[in-house]
Amino acid sequence: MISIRNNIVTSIELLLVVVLLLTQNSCGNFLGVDSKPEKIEREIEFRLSFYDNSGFMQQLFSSPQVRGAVVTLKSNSLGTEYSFISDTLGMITVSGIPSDTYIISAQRSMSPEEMLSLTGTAATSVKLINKKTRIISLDAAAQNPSIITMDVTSGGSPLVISEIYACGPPGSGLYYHDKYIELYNQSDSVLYVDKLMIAVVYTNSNTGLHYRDDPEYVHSKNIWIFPGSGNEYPINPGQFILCAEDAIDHRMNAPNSVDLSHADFEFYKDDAPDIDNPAIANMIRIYQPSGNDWLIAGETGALVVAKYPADSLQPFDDQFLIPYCSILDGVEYKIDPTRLDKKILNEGIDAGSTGGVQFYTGKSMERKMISNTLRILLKDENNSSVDFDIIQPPTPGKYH
Amino acid sequence: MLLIVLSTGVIRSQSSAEYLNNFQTIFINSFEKNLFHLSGNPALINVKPEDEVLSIKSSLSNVNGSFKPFSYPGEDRSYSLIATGEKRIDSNQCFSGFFGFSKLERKNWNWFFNRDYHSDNPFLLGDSTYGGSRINGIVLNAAYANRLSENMRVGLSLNYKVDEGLKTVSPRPTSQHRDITVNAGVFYKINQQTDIGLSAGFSDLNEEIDYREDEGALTQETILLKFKGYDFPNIFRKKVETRYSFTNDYNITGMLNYTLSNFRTTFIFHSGFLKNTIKDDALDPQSVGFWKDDYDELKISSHYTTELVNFALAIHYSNQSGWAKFPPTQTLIYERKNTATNFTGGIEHYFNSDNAVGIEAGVTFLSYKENDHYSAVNASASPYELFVRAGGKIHSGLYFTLFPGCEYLKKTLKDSFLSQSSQSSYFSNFRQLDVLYKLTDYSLYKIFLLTEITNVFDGSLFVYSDYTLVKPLSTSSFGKSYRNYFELILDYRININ
Repeated sequence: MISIRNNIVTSIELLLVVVLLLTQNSCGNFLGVDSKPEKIEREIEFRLSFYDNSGFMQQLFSSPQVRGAVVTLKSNSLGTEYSFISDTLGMITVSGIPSDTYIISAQRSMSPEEMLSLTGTAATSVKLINKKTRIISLDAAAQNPSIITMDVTSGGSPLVISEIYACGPPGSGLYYHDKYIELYNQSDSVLYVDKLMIAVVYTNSNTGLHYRDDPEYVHSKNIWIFPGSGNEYPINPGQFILCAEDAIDHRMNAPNSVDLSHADFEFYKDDAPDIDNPAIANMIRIYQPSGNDWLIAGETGALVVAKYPADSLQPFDDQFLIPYCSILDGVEYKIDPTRLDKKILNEGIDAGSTGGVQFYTGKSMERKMISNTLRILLKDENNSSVDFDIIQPPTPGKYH
Repeated sequence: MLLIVLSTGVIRSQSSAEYLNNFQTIFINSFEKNLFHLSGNPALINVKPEDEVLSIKSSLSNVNGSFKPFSYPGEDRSYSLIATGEKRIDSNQCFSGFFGFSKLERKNWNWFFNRDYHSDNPFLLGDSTYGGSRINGIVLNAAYANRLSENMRVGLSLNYKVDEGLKTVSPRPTSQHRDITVNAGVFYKINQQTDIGLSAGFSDLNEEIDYREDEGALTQETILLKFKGYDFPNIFRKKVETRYSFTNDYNITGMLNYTLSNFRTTFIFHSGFLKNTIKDDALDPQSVGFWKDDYDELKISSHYTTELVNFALAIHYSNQSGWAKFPPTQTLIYERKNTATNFTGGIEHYFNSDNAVGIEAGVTFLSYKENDHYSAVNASASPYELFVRAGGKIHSGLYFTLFPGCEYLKKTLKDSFLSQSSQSSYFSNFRQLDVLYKLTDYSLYKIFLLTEITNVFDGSLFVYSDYTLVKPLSTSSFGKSYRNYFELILDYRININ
């Protein structure tokens, strides 16, 4: 018994020596602890270079770098915006900002004099924008300057989605019949909405299936068009068009809801127990096989407005396909708008996402205003992360 | 009759001291219990026949008042009920263990729901609501020590704790915790004058916080706040989220004790680190935070004890340095370094074995430096604390012994610094108080009383209570606020030998 005990004592003494040796070495490495980063937050300097793909800058300044570009960076997780102007080398230097995924918007307006020199005509509304790169990651791994290419564009969509209200009002249980979409004519000429298409972008929330990366088409199982034969429903410059799920004064049912009795159009599903206000023109259902009313998601979804003949729609599986080239505007909204990795709408139509609105909170998503001189001019960078604000209460048929 | 009095006297002198840990140099425990208390080495668990007890202890503590960091609850109340047993198995082996229930109630708490909100870990999770929460748990402990030879003892202890939390206001998040702590140690007597000890500890702490859509939140907006520092929280308007927190702590403790006649000196060195990994999302957990904290402690205490007096001097140095990174970007987002150097001198005069008075006083030099790179908030200070504590042991009649005591502490700031730039309202209106709390002078007043009653149903009853009032300098950001601390413990022990 004594010898066993002595052996145990010796073993423990050896163990002690081992423990001491271990503790003298790097415990952290032995236990697999992460090493302390060398890069310190907000002390990293990021450089972004802007290059012109159109050749305009090369012709004007003998260099493809885009000087004088107005650049806006919006932090995806914090929502903070930072503005810069590129220098003569087409570069901006960003420091003091937290590492994050940033939604980047870069514009370089071409002056009429520059266009005269380039093309012989003093065209206005011509600008260079970052069509291809809309989202960048600024973090310690970004060692080299990020290169953003810019392409020429002329004007924007004359008709834009100005507001979407989808969540339902607060304090009235599960009331959700007061949804609407609002369009706005921000051109300087009269437009006609006849036959224009409003479609809900298809995604399967159960399986996560979506067609964001389809190279040509938006997929939809919910397609409606405006009535009219071509010139029956005009929308004047600076006018809003309100399309309501049910065109009634919803405050009768839900005190904190909205009055949609003055809507311009109503989604009426004639094969279901839906409400129809006979004084309001009805949208025409092209395809919506399920549901008792026009259905848009309350927290996460995407809508597009397109100019495309309904009888030319191509079927795919249980959906129809709308070509990207026919899309006038598209907006995606998500319950967590920072999760851009879960987007369902192609980035060429909407690079980002608005939202962060929960069910039954009475909030709507409204496009930001740029100016209000001759008429309201709304922000349209095809990036709803920077184009939209969340407002409360909703403002159907007008700007807040 | 004399034997009974002597026997209970032994229990009294060894057991009561654990309630008098307000003192650093006087009214200390028996030699081995004091070493165990200081080092946590389970090899020092040595249950003598007179220490074989069963006890049941009930405690209540309450903290309230507005002199607090913002992230602390307005009121923090805890209850516990713990049954303990200590038993000799044979002349070489002994065992101790306890089982208990605990309950934490946190009231008037803004946003946060992390159980260990006070760890300086920058990754706090909360929601926009104000209210209370409660955490109910059970705790288990088992410790075993074995005398392998005349000079060597080894020991092992295991702590296991599980609890469940609930925020009592919508959106009613829930939490689950599971904590395991293991300590193994060895104690070796080199010669009659010198002892050494070494122990190693490991902790594994898991936390899971779940936000789920409850009935109350169905038609109510939920705003989640995920902090990575003091400012600029990530704000999410969503009802469903899961956060996992995995914490591991590794530490070693070394001890050297030297005794020569009436003089005794003890050195204790404690060093370790903890690491904490934070992950979000139940379906696809993503690492959103990593926090590491290194700590070192050195305690030196010397006692010169005669039949009439105990002179003592203690020096205590501690150092903590932590940092945090944000794994998706691999950037350093937070650093802090705290040091404290404490000098305490005490004197205790024994009138006889049952009556004594003592006083100790000292100074603590503190250094605090914090760089929240993510929030662009930097702060530092070098305060010092002056304190004095006094107490007595008064044996009254055959069965009553009283231990009254008091403490006064004054913290004075020196070289304080706070820089911030372009902060959001989350910092300037709220979390700034977390930093300012550390940069505020205050005074602390404490009184306590331990009453020991022997021969209560053949056992002893300990009633301990204390009250502490902490008041900041009236010209500080906290104005005329204060913070109250109250504790009450009832402990019934019966010798089972």
